[in-house]
Amino acid sequence: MHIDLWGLALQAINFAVLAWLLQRFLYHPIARVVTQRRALVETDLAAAKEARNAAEENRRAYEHGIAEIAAERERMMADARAHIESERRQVIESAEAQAAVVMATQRRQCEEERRLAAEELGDQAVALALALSQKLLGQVSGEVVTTALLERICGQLATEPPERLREREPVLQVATMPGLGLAEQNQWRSRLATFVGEAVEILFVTDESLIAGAELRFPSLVVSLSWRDCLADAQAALMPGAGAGGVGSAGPKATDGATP
Amino acid sequence: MTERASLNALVVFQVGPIPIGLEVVTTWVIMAVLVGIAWFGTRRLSATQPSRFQIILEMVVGFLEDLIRDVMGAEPEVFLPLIGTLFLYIVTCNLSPLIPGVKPPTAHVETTGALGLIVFFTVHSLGVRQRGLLGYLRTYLEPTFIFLPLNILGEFTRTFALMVRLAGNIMSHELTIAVVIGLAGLFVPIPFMALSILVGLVQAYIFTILAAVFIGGAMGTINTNTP
Amino acid sequence: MNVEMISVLSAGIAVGLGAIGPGIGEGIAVAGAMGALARQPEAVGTITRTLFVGLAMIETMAIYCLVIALLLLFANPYVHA
Repeated sequence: MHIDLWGLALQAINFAVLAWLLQRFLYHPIARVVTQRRALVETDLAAAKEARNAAEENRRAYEHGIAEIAAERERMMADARAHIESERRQVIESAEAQAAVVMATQRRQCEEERRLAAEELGDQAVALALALSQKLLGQVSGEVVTTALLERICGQLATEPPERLREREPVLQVATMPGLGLAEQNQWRSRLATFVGEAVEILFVTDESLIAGAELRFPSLVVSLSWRDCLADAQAALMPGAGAGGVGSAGPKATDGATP
Repeated sequence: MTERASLNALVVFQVGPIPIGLEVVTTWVIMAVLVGIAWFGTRRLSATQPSRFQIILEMVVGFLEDLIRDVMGAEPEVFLPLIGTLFLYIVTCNLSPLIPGVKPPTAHVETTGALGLIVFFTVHSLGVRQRGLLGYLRTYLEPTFIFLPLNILGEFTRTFALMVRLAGNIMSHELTIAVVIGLAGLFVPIPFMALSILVGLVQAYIFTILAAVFIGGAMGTINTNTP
Repeated sequence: MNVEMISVLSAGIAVGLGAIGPGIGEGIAVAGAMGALARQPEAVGTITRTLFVGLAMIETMAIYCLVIALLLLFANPYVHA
């Protein structure tokens, strides 16, 4: 068996020629048309995708609208609920406030009435005490009273530092009840001079509000001793709520008026 | 022994010193038919409204492109003329004996030898171009230098096997059919001819696949080492 | 027994014996491919292509034997017709 080299070469050439011809007439045109079709299909696909995207967009917008409506409804309902709630609360609050006001008013009224009644009671007691004391004093002679008063005043002045009473006080007003006779006035002046000195001018007045007692009124110092003060003290003890609005300052005391 | 001629080329006529064998003439006819079909089918191509014929041609080309893409892992444009033409030519040759009186060119070692040599030289030239001369030669030392003679031997035997396989299959089927016809002329050879269609298609497919595998392996896109 | 008789005999023996190995090999290969197809029907393309290539490889042995036989029959260098 021998291989025909001419045939081999010819077949090889034939094959090369066939490959070139088929490339020219088959593969190239088919590849070109396939590429064209692919481009067309891709264009169509892109268009379809575009359309689908648009539809999707529409759908989303529609769903968005629905959701918005639902949210709106929800919000309105919540608003209405809150409104109702606030109104209810307001009504309750106003009712409660009214009730509180009424209660407070009533309580205050009660307080007031009680206080008034207590005051009235205190006043009555004071008035009774005044009446009683005046009646008692009426039976006692004024001289006895004033003598006793002078003794006690002098005792009180003795507790004061003597420098305070001297020199500074040029005028001394002495208010008493019952009023002093001329002899008694001289007796009082001589006794008081031992405390305040001779230079001091001493005036005598009668003050009914003292009920029974005496008050030494220096310009800047008051030394008092009276039933009125005792009564006021008693009234303050009886009615702690009445405060200082009473008849006078409490007890025998010295008030430093004009501080230097 | 009249059948002796079936192994040797039958010289039809002579052009100067060149004897033109029968298989060469048959190949010319087949070339004319193929190019004629291609020209007829691609006369009026349309991207939007393809004719039936155009669809068939597109399917054939698409099949070849897929084959190249799958087997070689490369873009098919470069190899389509070689691989695609191999397949189309061999299929046409293998199916040509269905026409009475035609002898298939692929039954001759000259034809398959030409195809095998083309594949052989393509493999080496592409391998050299892809990896450089030294890089390509180094692949013959893989996995170790001991394999060098085996690799060189394999290069030749696999090409030899490629051409002998195709020629042997087609020729043996020709002989088988001839023998069967000699035994019982009527109807009996028909199953054998049907089988020869199958064998022709499968052998063409195998030749194409192997050529693609060899070329792809030389380029390094796939890793195969076949005898 | 002359050279022609021996050639014919050897051709028959070559084809007959040379068909045994590839036959067994192809059977194993096809069985394996069928099993793989049953397991993974979606890989039919790859399996089929690989099977064909493998079958061609196996069949090459038988074809070698056939070529030897044909050479002995039709192109025997020791027979001068």
